[in-house]
Amino acid sequence: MNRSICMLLLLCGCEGYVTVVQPVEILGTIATADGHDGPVRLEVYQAWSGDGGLRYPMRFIDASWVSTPGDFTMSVELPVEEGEGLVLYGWQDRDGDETHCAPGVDDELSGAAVISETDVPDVVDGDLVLDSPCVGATRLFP
Amino acid sequence: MATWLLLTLAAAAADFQDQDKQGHPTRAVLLGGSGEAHWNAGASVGSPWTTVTVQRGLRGGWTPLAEVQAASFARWQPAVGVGKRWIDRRWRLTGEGTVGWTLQGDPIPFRGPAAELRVKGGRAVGRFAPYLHLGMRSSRTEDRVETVSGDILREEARWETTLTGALGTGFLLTDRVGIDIGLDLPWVHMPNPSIPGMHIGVQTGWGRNQ
Repeated sequence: MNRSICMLLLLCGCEGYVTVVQPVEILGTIATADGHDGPVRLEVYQAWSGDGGLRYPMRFIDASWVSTPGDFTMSVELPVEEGEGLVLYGWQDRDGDETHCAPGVDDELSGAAVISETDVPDVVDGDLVLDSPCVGATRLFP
Repeated sequence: MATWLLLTLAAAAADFQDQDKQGHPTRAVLLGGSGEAHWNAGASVGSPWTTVTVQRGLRGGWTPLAEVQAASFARWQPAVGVGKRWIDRRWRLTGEGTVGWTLQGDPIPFRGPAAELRVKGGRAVGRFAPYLHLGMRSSRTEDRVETVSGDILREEARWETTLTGALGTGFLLTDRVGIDIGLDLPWVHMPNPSIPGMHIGVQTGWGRNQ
């Protein structure tokens, strides 16, 4: 009887994609090499995703803006069945166009911090130094 | 509204008790609507669709039905519903509505309730019964985000709308058995283009003299 009820519920239930995530709290500090103020775009990546020959680095997870270098906190959900590790990447928007190094701009500093390439704790420290002008995320890791 | 009224008036004028019109199982399944107290069943196999249908005619052209459709045996669509013959003269036009479930596994999991509205139309031409089916089907499921420990963080409804269609012809073999061949045009996730399929089917029935 119980098995019949279970089968009925299994048949009738609504279920689509199930994404298993690990909520992670990132506490950190952003610093620029030249001490310049200005908004920073902070991007979170999983270090690696996929299996075998389809394994690739830097799977984008989430992004947010912080108003100026300094302390920050950010909460993200890492889809643990689809990738592993955690990499922080940031760049400073010095001309206010919300575009990293648009044509004619070559002084917007960027940087990355590899938090982990495998397991990630629920709370991590992520100190980020922006010291590379106009370098994209995938140039900094791996 | 005007179309609905026109169809209702046309249905009221139709003679559903005419044995010739209530007709053959192939006409009943392909053109829709079984004769009163007639049981009809149809099955078709094809790529990608395989279908089994059972229906029974009631007074006034109403036809309860049960069906199972399978796409490549990876997507299952069981449903129950009812049909109503709107027009049953030289041409037959039938409306059908069903409710059921969509059951699909990985890699695109989808399990949830579904409903479909469709019209079946065609006419008898000697032993042939050319037909056209057009419908719209909608299914709903819930995508879920949960933690490693199983706590559900949020659920989000996902809808899938499908235009359905089939074009083909039936052929009456005997008084109680017929076959058909047709093209299927399911339009999953419209407006993505459909991958057409085809099928061959068999129809039978009983209870014609009740």
